[in-house]
This record gives sequence, structure tokens and C-alpha cells, in this order.
Amino acid sequence: MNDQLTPPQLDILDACLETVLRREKTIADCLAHYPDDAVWLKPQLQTALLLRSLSAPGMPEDAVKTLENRVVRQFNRSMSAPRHNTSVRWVGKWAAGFMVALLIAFGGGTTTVAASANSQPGDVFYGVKRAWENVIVYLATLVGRADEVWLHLAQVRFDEMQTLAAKGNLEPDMLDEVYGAVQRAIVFADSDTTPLLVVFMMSAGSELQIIPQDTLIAAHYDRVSAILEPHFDPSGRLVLLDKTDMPDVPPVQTIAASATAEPTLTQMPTLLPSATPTETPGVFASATFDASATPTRTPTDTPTSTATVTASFTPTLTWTPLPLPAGTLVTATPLVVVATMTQSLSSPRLTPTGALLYPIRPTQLAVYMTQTAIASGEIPTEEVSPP
Amino acid sequence: MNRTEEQRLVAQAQRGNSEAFAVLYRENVQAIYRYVYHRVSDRHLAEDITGDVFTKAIEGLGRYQDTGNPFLAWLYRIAHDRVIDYYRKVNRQPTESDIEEQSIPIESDMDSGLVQEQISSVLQTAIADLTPEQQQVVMLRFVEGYRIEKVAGIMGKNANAIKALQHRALRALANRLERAGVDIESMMAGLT
Repeated sequence: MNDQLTPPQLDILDACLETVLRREKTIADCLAHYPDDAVWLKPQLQTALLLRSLSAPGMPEDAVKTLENRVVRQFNRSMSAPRHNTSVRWVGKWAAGFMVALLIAFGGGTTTVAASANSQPGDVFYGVKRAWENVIVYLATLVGRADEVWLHLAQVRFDEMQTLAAKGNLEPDMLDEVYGAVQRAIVFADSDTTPLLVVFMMSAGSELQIIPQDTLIAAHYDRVSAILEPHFDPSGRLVLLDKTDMPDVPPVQTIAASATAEPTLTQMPTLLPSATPTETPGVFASATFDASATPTRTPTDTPTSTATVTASFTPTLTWTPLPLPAGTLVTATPLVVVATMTQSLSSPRLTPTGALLYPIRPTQLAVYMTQTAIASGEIPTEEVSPP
Repeated sequence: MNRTEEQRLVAQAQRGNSEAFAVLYRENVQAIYRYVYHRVSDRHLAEDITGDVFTKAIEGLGRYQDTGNPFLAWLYRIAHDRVIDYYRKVNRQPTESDIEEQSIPIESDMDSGLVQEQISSVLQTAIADLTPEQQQVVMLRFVEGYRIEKVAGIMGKNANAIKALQHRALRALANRLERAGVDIESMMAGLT
């Protein structure tokens, strides 16, 4: 018998195993088909058949039930115990800030340039986008900011659904994704995010009406339509009427509270994401972000560019978002000033075009709020003027 | 259970939903038990190790990331590690003499149940002498009946690597049985 089989021989073995184990052919049939390989093939096929005959005892039903009770008890103990309490206290603010930086880099607002941020279901990068979201959700849950992230993700899912609908590719699964994200946004919403979520739900509910539906998606469509209709309990809290598949709120919400209660923050630092996007005009851009807390209130744009023979360039954008004035969240359409950059292929320079006032979507504001709220605890509203 | 349903349950379990985890447990416990049982050949020990597997799964659930493979693949890896740990603790693997001691002639008039029992006993002892990876392939490919691609996904290897492992495992088992004086032909006849 050969010590090592060649790749074709390995394929022969596997092909024979498939047919013999599924009783489509006998060992003799296979050996007749591959006479040159019969010597080494026969004992291996025989051994495989013997292995297939191994009895597969099931775990006794009572043992399954007993173990299930034990496992569930362990699960509940594990979930109710304070998790990573010490480390989260220590990294609380850092993690929260980093989380938001990641969120922005990923797809949170107009500054988003990450390659996967604009990917849609079915795109190459979409898996990356969803995996990244899982990281964000995990971090957000650790630091008790899942409400903001789910609000954002509800918006993202809704946007994706609209894109697919515009292409005529809307599938029931996508509607279910929207439903799931909105459901979580409602479950996790607190008094800060509820007004924003309500604005989003009403806006999305209206936009949903113009999406054509067919019989294939009708039930899913109706489910999304229903959940986008806000319902409140007597205390003003958003409630779910359909509690099917309702997600649980994880028992880690107090962690962030203990972190923000630390009396060490005496300044009002703002998050300073430093972006270095690399863009190929006409395709997309990607970026990496570093975030640090710097006690400054002056947003600066420092674009630089380098032209190359291939007309690509590497701008550097330093962007310091201002803490917005404290105030009360209102349902009026919020406005924010966003510094945008333009570029020209013939003159590859980035030029700050100054302030541009335009209404932003509630979730974009939520992302902005997250940045500033982490650093200062203030809640931004309405608008801010450029320096 | 389809993948979407499984992913939903995993996500719920990660957020602390015990019922979701219980469903995942019920869905996978028998496969894990069979896998462990064939590696340790003892029902009670297999039950204990199966319990350990789910305890470890609870501990690691927060770090679990869906990589496109079934949740069971992750549980198999934990089970594999637990079995290795077990053998490391007891510091013993079956030896060739174990097979020889168990090997009794299979007669043509033997009761089929007895033949089956004898074959199982001999094979399990021989399997235990394979490398851990070969054992895993044997269990998943021939006992659980998964195709090469699924075994590859579970073990985190490519299909060609699994084919090579499969061949080495079968060759080693066949040699092992032959050296121990086990008559494969009569065993095969006992199966029919």
C-alpha cells in the first residue's frame, strides 16, 4: 500500500466512499472501476463500512433533561453575574469612545468612508459589514449603549431594504432584518433615544408606503409596517405590541452607569477622530480612524493631498466634532453643520467648502450625540455654527 | 433548524436569553454526546464530558462569532478539546494489546447483535489510538455521516486536507486491525 496517496487517488477514495456509504455501489463495483487502485482501496473501503456500522447510542432522555436543567441554571448564573466588572470600569470611557469611533468609521454618518460601509446585501463586503456590526453591538452592550447602536442599525437596515427595493430585489429576509433591528431598537430605547427613534419610525413608516409589495413579501411587509407604528405605555415608553421573538435586554446595563459616575472627568473633552481616507475617484474610499479625547472646541479641517499619475490621492482629514449646546430633545427636524470636502481630478486638492446646513436623519444625530455625550454627558440639539 | 433560525437563537442567547440557549442545547446535545461517546467508550463519562462541553459553551458564548459554520461546529471543537483534556488527565490511551484482548473470532453462527457489539468494541479501541484529528474525521465522516465539505467546515480545514486525513485514518485503522489479527473479511460478513 502506498504510504502517501496522490491528490487524484484521494479523490478516487472519496468518490468510492460516497457511493459505497450511500449504498449506491458495492466495494466490488468500485474496485472493478479502479482496478489499478484496488490493492490499497479495498481495505480502506472495508474499514469505512465497518465504521459506518458503529452503533450510535443516544443519550438517555432523562439524562438529557437533567443535563438541560443544569445547563440552564449555569447559563442563568453566568448571565446574572457581573461580567468583566473590573475591566469594564477601567476601560468604560475608552471603550465607549472607541466604539463610537468604530461605528462612525463603519457607516454612521456622512464622514463614513469605510469600504464596506455602503455595501448592500449580496455585495462582496456585506459580510464584513455585518461582522463589524456584531463587534459594535458587543462593545455597545458592554458599555450600556446598545440603545444608540440599535437605533443606528435600524436605520441602516431600512436603508438597505430601500436600496434592494429600488433594484427590484427585495426579499422577505430583508424585511425580517428591518423588523428585527427596529424591534431591538425599541426594546433597548431609553429616554434619550426614544424621541429619535420615534422620528425614525414615523419617517420610515411613510417611506415604506411607497415601496411596491407583492404577495411574496406581503406578510413580512405588513409586519414591518406594524412595528414602525409607535405605541407607548402610560409612562411614555415605547412598547412592542407584537412580542414574538422579542429580544431580551442583557443584564449589563449598569456597567456604563458606574463608569460614567467616576468623578475623574473635569474637562469637557471631545472625541477627535483622525481620518486618513484613501480614495480612488469614482469607486469608493476607505479609511482608518484613531480616536482620542482632546479638550478642544475648535473643529479643524486640514486636508492634504498627493496627486499621482493614476489620479488617486490620499487626503488627510482631521475632524473635531463640537459638543453641541445642551438642551432638550425635541421632535423637530434637527439640523447640524457638517463640513464637507470637495475635490477635483484636474487639481487634486481637497477644499473645505465650509458649512452646509441640511437636515440629518435621526440616527446620524444619534451617532453624533454618542460622541459628545460620552465625553461630556450633554445632549446636542438643533444646530451649531461653524467657527 | 435552519441557519437563520440558529443565528437568531445564538444572538438571543448571547443577550442572555436562557430559553434560546436551551433550544440550542436540545438541538445539539445528542450529536455531541455521540461524538464524545465514541471517543471515550463510556456512557457515564460521555454524559459528564457532554455537560462540560455545554458549560464551556456558556463561558465562551460572549466571544462566539459566527464564521459561517453551524453552531454545532463550534460545539464539536469544544468537545474535541474536552476529550483531549480528559485523556491528558488520565494519561492513558488504549494500546494495541487492548485490541488483541478484545479480539475474539467472529463465527458465522454468532448472534448479529453480538457481532455488532464485538465490531464496535474493537473499532472504538482502534479509533482511540488514532491522532485526535484523525479521530475527529472518523467520527464526523463515518459515524455522523457528514460529507467532506461539512467536515472541513467543522474542523476549519479545506476539503483536500480532510481527504488526506480521511485516508490516513482509514489506512491506520486497517493496519491496526490487521496487526491485531482482526479478520476484516469475517467482520464484513458479520455485517451482512
